[in-house]
Amino acid sequence: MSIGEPAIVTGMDQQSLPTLHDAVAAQAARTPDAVAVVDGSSALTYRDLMARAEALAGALADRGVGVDDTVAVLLDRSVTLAAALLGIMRAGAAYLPLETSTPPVRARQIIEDARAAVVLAADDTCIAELRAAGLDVVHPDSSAAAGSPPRVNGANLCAVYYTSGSTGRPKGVACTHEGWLNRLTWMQHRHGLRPGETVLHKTTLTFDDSAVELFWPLIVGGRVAMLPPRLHRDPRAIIEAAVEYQAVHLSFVPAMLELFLETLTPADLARLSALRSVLSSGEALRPALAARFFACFGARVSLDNTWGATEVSIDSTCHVCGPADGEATTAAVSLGRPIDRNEVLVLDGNLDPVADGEPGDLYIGGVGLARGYLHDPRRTADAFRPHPFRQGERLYRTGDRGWRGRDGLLHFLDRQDRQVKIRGVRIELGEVETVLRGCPGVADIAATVWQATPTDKRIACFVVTADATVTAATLREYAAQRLPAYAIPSSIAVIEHLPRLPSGKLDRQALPTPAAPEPVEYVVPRTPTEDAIARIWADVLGARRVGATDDFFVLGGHSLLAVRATARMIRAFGTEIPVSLIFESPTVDQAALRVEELVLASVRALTDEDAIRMASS
Amino acid sequence: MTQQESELFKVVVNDEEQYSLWPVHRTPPNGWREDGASGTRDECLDHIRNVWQDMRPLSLRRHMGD
Repeated sequence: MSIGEPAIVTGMDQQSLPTLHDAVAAQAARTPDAVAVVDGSSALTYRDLMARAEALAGALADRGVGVDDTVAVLLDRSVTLAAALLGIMRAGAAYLPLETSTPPVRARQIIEDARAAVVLAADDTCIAELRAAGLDVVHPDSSAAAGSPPRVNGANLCAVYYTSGSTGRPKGVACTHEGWLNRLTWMQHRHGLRPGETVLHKTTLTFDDSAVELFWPLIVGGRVAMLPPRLHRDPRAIIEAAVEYQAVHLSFVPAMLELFLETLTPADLARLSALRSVLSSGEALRPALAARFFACFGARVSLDNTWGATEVSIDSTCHVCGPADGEATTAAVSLGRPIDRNEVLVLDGNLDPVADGEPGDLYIGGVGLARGYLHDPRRTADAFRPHPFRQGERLYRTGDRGWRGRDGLLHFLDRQDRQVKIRGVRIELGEVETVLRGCPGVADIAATVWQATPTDKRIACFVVTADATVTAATLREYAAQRLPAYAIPSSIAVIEHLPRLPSGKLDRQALPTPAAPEPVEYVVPRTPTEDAIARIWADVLGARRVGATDDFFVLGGHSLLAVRATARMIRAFGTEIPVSLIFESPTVDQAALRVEELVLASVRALTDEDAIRMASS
Repeated sequence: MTQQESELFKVVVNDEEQYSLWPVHRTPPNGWREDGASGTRDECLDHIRNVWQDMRPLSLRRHMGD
């Protein structure tokens, strides 16, 4: 089969299989002994997987969990996670994913908003904290006899995904089985996964693209391989896992795709022999990145750029990229055309269609539409508007502006509001402001986004304080307890007053240019190793200079930048350096000591012959 | 007052008893009827919060037997 040619799909009939759980169960009946899920320590056959899901469903039903209820999930990637999600669905309920690292204040807020009766957690510390907060915690290995399955319909909920809300309160997108099954069915039409083939589950569960990695293989007899926990930002770990499990498909947000391509060696390319498709989603794909992709893989691996929203079942359009996309002079690669049973309308302010080539607001319709925002009729009615042409149907107002070319291809232009994307994750700047405004002593605040380096967007905050004891450090601490890591501003500056327009509105154009925070006290690097590390960090962080005692994360570093800095350090010192080094030794002098130890250790590990050969070359 | 705040809407509802907003001077599209309330976006949304008690589509509520 050549790339781009749709495969023939058999064995999936949405009418008779209304839910994700039913679709996986039907596959399990066809191939009970095939391996369904594998992680570093164990593997489950389809039969095992369904048995574990069944046992957990019984335990959940005993707690009173039923159809359309919500069960929160704080679990790391493992075979247990796959069984747990199916168990929740077997009980009729929807899963609500939360990162195990979510600050407890935020976790409780979301769990209460979703009215989740039960929380699934396996880590002892995590369980203790959740129980202390008064929540009913169930271990995913819990087991009880499950009665007959509850009556679940395609319009029932399979998952609830929380996204940033402009008022400071996150909102839960209530996703349906029918919408998600349609997305997965399209995936199979497009990519034709064959029985036994592997997809790597590498995307963190709180990002909805992870659902495609998990459930697409399971409804067609494929195998899900779990990337070990916490490594989803480590391109080296992703490459090794993709090689080990012979993954045929990988999904990335563009920032992560860039790191993946940066890290790939010619040897890796040969080892990734099974890979045939890569999907980029979550953020605009730049032509330069598409060009880089084709320079690596040529025509051997396909590159899809998808666009959509959690509110409409993950993705609604797809563009199969070609080398021409890499040469485009536009800011972003085309969003492509709507996928099966999805529709995109480009409308003006009166909800009338605009002509091809004219900019307008992008609305999505079709079977993928979520029920709305959980327990929130107000925000649902505002975002889901009447379809002007299809009897009684609704459209989702994405907030993205764009245009459609005469060739039918859709293009992204900009946002109507203050939603930004940081490394593929949706963040409302209003939410960041609302949270920080709650900090005692804060009088006024403005959050903004800035491009520290061409490939790195960050959030900056300007704060006016009513209390001189409130500093950038206290504000950062306050934010870290209440916001997910990706939404914590990388720079916070206290200023005297915010610039205002004559109308009294904030003058965003007049805000100071955010800068990477300046070192408090600059200490000149003292050794060649310190000097080399300081230069690499300054470059990666977009900082003017970095001193010997400066902390990578205080200067605006984040995990993706740590990965990039590590890759540069590996090249500079010619030795293997784990990504964890910067997290454990975040200052230049500490990192330099560790690097010197690693270099010494690798020299000691050389045989005499190696040493002689290297010395003579 | 911004243009968006001054814009007027009416509350509309479809056969699945899902609520939404529609510009006040335009006839609702096929399959949507007026519920009687109108006003600013905020006023309409407040009204919807009060009347839209069960967010399951009507056909699903029937399927679930209540």
